[in-house]
Amino acid sequence: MTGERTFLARFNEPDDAVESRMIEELDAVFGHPPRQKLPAGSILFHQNDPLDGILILMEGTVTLYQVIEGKEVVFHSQTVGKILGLLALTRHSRSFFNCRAVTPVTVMKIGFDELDRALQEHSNLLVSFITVLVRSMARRNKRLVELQTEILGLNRSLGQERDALSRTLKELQQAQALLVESEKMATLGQLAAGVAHELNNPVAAIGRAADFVREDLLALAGELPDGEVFREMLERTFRATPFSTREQREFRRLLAGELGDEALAERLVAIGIHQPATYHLLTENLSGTGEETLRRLERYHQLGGALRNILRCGERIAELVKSLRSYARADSTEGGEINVHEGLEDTLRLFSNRLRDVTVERHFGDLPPIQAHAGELNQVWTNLIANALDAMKNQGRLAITTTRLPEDRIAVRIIDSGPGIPPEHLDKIFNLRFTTRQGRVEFGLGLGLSISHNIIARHGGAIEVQSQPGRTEFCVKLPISREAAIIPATIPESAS
Amino acid sequence: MNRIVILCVEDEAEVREAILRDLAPFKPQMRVEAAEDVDDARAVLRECAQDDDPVGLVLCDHLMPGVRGVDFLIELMKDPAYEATRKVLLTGQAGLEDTIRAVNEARLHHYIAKPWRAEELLQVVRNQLTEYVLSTQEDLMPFIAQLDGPRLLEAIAAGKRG
Amino acid sequence: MKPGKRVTGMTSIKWMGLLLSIFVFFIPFIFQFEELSVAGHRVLAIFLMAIVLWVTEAIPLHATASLIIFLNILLVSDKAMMALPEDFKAPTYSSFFYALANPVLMLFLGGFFLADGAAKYKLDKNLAKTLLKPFGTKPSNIILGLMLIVAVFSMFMSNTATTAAFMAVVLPVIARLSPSDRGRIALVLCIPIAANVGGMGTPVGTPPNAIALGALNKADIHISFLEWMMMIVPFMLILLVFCWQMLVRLFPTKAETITIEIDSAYDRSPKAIIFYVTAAVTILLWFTEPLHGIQSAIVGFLPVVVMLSTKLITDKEFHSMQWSVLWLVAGGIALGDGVGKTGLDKWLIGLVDWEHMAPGMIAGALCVAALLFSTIISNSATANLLVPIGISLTASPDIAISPITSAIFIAIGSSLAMSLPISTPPNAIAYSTGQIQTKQMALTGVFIGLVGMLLFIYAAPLIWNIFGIMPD
Repeated sequence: MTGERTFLARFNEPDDAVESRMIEELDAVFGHPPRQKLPAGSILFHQNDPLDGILILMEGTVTLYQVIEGKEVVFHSQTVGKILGLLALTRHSRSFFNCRAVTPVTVMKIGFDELDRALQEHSNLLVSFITVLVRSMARRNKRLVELQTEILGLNRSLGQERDALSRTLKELQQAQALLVESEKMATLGQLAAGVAHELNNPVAAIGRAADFVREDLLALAGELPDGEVFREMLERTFRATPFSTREQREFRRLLAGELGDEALAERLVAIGIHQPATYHLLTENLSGTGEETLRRLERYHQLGGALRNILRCGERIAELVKSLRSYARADSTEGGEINVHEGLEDTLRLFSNRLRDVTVERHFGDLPPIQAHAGELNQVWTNLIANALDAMKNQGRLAITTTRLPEDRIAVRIIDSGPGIPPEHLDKIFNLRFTTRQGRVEFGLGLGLSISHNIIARHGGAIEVQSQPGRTEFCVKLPISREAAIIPATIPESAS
Repeated sequence: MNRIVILCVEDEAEVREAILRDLAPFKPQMRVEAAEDVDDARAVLRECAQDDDPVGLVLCDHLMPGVRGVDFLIELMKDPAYEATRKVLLTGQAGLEDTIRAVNEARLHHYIAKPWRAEELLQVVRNQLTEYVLSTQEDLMPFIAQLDGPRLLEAIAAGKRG
Repeated sequence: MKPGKRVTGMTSIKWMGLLLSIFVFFIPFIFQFEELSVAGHRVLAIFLMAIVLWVTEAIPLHATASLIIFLNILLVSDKAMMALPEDFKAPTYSSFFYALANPVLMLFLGGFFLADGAAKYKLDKNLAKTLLKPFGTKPSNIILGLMLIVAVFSMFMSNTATTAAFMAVVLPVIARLSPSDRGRIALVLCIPIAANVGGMGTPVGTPPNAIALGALNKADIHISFLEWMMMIVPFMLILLVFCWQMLVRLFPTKAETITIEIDSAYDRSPKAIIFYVTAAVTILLWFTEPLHGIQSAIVGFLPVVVMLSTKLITDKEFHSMQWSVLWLVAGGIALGDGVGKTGLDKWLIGLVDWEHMAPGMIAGALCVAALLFSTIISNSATANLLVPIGISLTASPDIAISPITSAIFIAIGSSLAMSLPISTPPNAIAYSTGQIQTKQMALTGVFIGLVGMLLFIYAAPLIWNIFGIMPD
C-alpha cells in the first residue's frame, strides 16, 4: 500500500507483517484469487511432481519430506514458511519435497507466468515477495545447519555405543575363555582321576607280582646246587643301591689292578662285586668253570636287578598315581576341610620332571585344616608354580613358605629366583586383559593368574605379588573358615 | 686292541641299567660305558682318550640334572676329536626347540623316543656304528658279524675291486 | 686322540719281524757260502729278508716289494753301491725297474679296469641275478649256482671283491634261516671257496697266476690267456663240483627253499653300453689269441685305454685302484730276476740231491710247499718267494719237469690254501661274518687242499699231455 517504503526498510518488519502484506498485494494484483481448503493429511504435491506455480499457505501447517529407503524423512515443518514450491522455482518446475497438510489448510495458487508478469509490473509486490522468499530461505538454511549438528551428535553417541559394545564383547570372550579353561581343567581333572584309578590296580599287581617272583626264586634257589650263592646274589642285588657310574669305573680300575684282568674286572663290577675276596668266596661255592660261573653270577645279578627295578619303578608310579588321584579327586569334594600342605606336595610331585634342576625349599608352618575347595586351590598352586618355573626356565630355587596369620588366616608364599616381573607389568598381572605376547602373559599361563585370582577371591582370600630380579613372591592369603572370609580380594600392590 | 666306545648318558639308574642290558650284544667287541650325567660323561671321554679308544657312538638322554643332553651333544660336535662320533638322543622329553637345536647344531644322527623297543635300539645303534666304522676304520672285517654286514661287505668289495 | 682314529698299530710280532728281517739280511754278509757268487750272496740276503717281511707283514706287502726292487738295484745292478766282481755281468738297474711295467702287470691292470667297470655299472649283480635264476630255489642247487657264478666272476675280478660282494647278497638269506640250520655254514663257506678256486682259472684271476706268468715271461716262455684257461678251467670245474658236493653233504640245509634277492637292474646308459662292448671285446680277444696272435697283455691294455679316454673310469676311481697288488707282483718278478741273474738259483738247487726224486715228487713238493706257505702267509708273497726257486729248479738237467708245470703248480698250490681264516682274504671275510667256526673252515679247507693237489699233480699233467696242451 505504501509504495514509498524502501526494500531494505521492510527487513526490519516482523515475519507476519511482511507475509500478510504480500498476501494483500497479491490479492490486489490478482483480484483476490480463489482459496482452496484441504483437509489434514492431504498431499499438496509429490516429490518430482511438475509444478506450474507456487502455493501460498494461508492457514494451517504442512510438512516437507522426502522418502529415503522407504522411510519418510521430514526436512521442514516449523520452517516451511508461507510459500510452497519454492525450490521448484529453481528446479525446472519440479517439486523437491513431498508436501503434506498436517492440519486443515487453506492455500492460494498462483501460476509461474502470472507471478512473473505481476512481479515485473508491481514493484511493491516484488519487494514483499522477495522479502518473504529470502526470509523463508534463511529459515530453511538455519534448519539445515541444525540438522548437520544433530547428525554429528548422533554419530558421536553411536561411536561411543559401538566402543562400549566391543568392550563388552571382548570381556565376554575372555570370560568365556576363562570358563573354557576352567572347564578344561575340570575335565582334565576327571580324566586324570579316572586314569589314576585305572592305573592303581595294575601298579599294585606289578608290585605284588615282583614280590611273588622274588619269593619263588628264593624258594627255587634252595633246590639248586649253588642255591646259596644264587640266594645271596639275588638278595644282595635286590637290597643294595647300585654303584654310581663314577664308582663303577673307579672300582673297575682298582679291581683290574688287583686281578690283572680288565675284562673280568669290568664284568665283576657290573654285577656289584668290587673286592677280589668276594669273588673268590662266591666262586668257591659254585660248580663249573670260571666262565660258566661268571655267566651264572651275571644271570643272578640281572634277575635281582630287574626285580629291584620293577619294584622301584612300580613304587614311583604308585606314588605318582596317588598324587594324581588326590590332586584330581579334590575337584569333586566341595569345600570340605583340607590340608594345604598335601595339596602343595601333590602339585610339586606332578611337576617333578620340571624340578630336576630346581632346588625346592619347603618352609611349612603349623597350619590348621582350612575350609576350601581343594581342587580349585590345587589349580592355584599349579598356576603359581608353573609360572615360577616358566620364569626360572626350570632352573634355580623355588621356596614355598606357609604361615598362620592372625585373624584366622593363613598365607602361602611361592617364591622363585627368576628374573622378576617388570614393574610396568606388575600392576596388571592379574588383569584379565593383560597380555604381553599373543594373548599370553610373557612368562605365565596367560589366563592362569587371572583364574587363580578369581578362585582366591571366591574363597575370600587375597593374592599379592612382589617382584625384583632374582626374587618374585606370590603371596596367597586365605581364611581358615568361610565365616572369616569377608575381606574382599585386593588388587595387587606393586613393590620393588 | 683298541675298542670302539659306546657311551650311554642317562641319569635314572633303572633306565640306564635297561639300556646297558639292551646294548650287551655289542660287548665285548665294543667298549660300552655309562655315565649318569654330563660331567660324568666328560670323565668317561677323558678316560677313553687316555686309553686311545675312539668314541663311536654317544647315546644321550636329554633331561638330566645339570647340563642337558642336547647341550652336551653340541659341545661334542664342536670338538674335532668327536666329529665322526655318531650322536643319538634317547629321550621322552626333548621339546621341539631342543630337538631342532640338536639337529642343526649337534648334527644329531638319530632320535629315539622313550619308551624304546630293544630291537629298535639295537638296529639304530648297529646302523650308526656301521656309519662310524665306514667313515673311520680301514679294516672293516672285524665288524661284519656285529654291525650291518652287507653294507660293510659292499664297502669292502668296492675297495678291493681293482 | 685324532678324529676317526684307526684301530690299528704295530703289534709285537711286527716289531720282531722287522728286527728279524734286518738280522737275516746280514747273515750272507757274515757267513760266506762256497760256490755262491758275491752277487748271489747279496740276493740271498734280499731273499731272506723278503721271506721274513712277507711272513710277518712287518711292513705292507707291497712295501717289501718296493724294497726288493730298490735293494736289487743298490746291491747287484750295474749301478750297485757296493763293488761287484769284474767277471759278474751285472744286469742294468733299469731291468729291475722294468718289473713295474712287466706286460703281466698290464694284463692284470686290464682285469682291474674290467672289474671296476663291472661293479660301477652293476654288471656283476645283474649277471648274478640273471644267472642265478635257472638254479631255482632248492638250497643245494642255489649253492651250486652261487659257486659257479662266484668262480666265474673271480676269474676276472679280485677274489676278495667277489667274495665281499656275494657275501653281502648271501648274509640276508642266512639271517632268514633258523640258527640251527647247518645250511648257513654251507652258504657262507661256498663263496670264499668258489672265489679261491675260481681265481685259478685265468691269468688275471689272482696275483699268483700273474707272478707265475711273469716269471715264465722272463724265461721267454709265453702262455696265452686261452692256453692258461684250457689247462686250468676243466680241473677248476671238477674241483668246484667236488667242493659243492662236500659242502651240501657236510652241511645240509634244513630249509626247503632259499630265495636270493638281488635288487638291481641293467644299466642301459651310453657309457654302460660302451663298457659292455669293451668288456666283451677284451674277453673275446683274450679267448681268441691263437687266431689273431695279439698277446693278452696288449689286449689287457685295451680296456685301460678305452675306459680312461671315455672317462668310464674317473680320476678318483683311477687313483683308488689296488695299485699295491701290481707292486707286489712286480716285487716278485724283480726278486726272481735277481735270483736268476746272480746264480743264486743254481746254488739253491745244488743244496738238494735231486737225482733221487721223481719229477712228480718234485712238482708235488712245490705244490705242497706253496700250499703250506700260503696257508699262513699271503698267496702272492708265497708265489713271489717260491716261483723263482721253482723255475730255477727246472734249469737243472737232472730235473725233468717243465718250468710251466713248476710255475703253475706253485700258483695253483698257493690258491688251494684255504684252511684258515688268515689263509686268504676271502676266508677272512667268511670268518668275519661270525657264522662259521675255524674248525669248519679247516675241515673243508684241508679236504679241498688235498683233493685239489692230487687232482693237479696226478691227473692234470696226464690230461695236458694227452691233449697236447702243454708245450714241453
